[in-house]
Amino acid sequence: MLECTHQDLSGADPWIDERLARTTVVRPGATTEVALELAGERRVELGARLTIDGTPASGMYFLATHLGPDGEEDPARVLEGALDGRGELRVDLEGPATVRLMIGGPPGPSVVFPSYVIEVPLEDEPAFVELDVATGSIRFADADGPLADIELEWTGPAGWRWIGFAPLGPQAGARLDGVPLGRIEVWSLRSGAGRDDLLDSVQVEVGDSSEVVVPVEE
Amino acid sequence: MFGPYGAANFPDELALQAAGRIAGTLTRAGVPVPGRELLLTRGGPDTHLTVTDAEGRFAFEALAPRPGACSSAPIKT
Repeated sequence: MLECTHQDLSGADPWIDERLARTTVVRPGATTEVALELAGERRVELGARLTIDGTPASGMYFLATHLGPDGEEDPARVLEGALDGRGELRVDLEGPATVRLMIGGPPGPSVVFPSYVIEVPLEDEPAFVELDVATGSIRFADADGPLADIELEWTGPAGWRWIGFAPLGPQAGARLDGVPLGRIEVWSLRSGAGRDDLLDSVQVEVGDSSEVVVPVEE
Repeated sequence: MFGPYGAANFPDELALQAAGRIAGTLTRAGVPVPGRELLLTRGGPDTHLTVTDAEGRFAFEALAPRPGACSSAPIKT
């Protein structure tokens, strides 16, 4: 008997796809013909556009991951690629489902590695999401020790989230450029000297492109 | 003259069976699905991976004639 199932090659538990259920027999010296039909599967178009300071974010990396019923990412259903010259992507994905779309990188001259994240429900109609972000600067002053990592989270329009990771290195008064304007939560600052969580859930407003200084607290 | 392993002493169980083959077409709503990974699992390390061609055709070659499970691997389009 031969049963056809979906299989996760990345190490997670395999899951059976009833759409491919078949039974057959492997015969010595013979070819067994089977016809597999993905009945019930629909393909739904997901589109997105990202501009940063008015410029299409062409070439940025995207990752679309299906979410399971529990909201966890399904590592077996991942699609990745790059935004085109208009800062857009259009892909056909299996639906109905909810997809977590992440757009980020590649790392530029800024120390911030931006990642924009949104959950998109895929139903019968094509889904399209777009985000235009304006960026500013943020500076961490009076650090009296080596700074290693800063992570920031920003809540943008229409469900977008932004996560920035900044490996600052051992310096004081470090500055991040390219931070999207809005309400930023600095939720972690770690030092290479073993001092964890010097900053925790500090919220700052970045209203324009002027520099905003966030004091580093002991 | 052949010793203990002479031809006359070979048990029937050692006779080799010819390998089998599974081939077919993967479709969605009757349309061939190209580039889809399919995984044949038959317990333990006995797995075989193949990918549908431009016409949605696939084949698992050199299979021992025994039961197994065919799986569709992660979608990479």
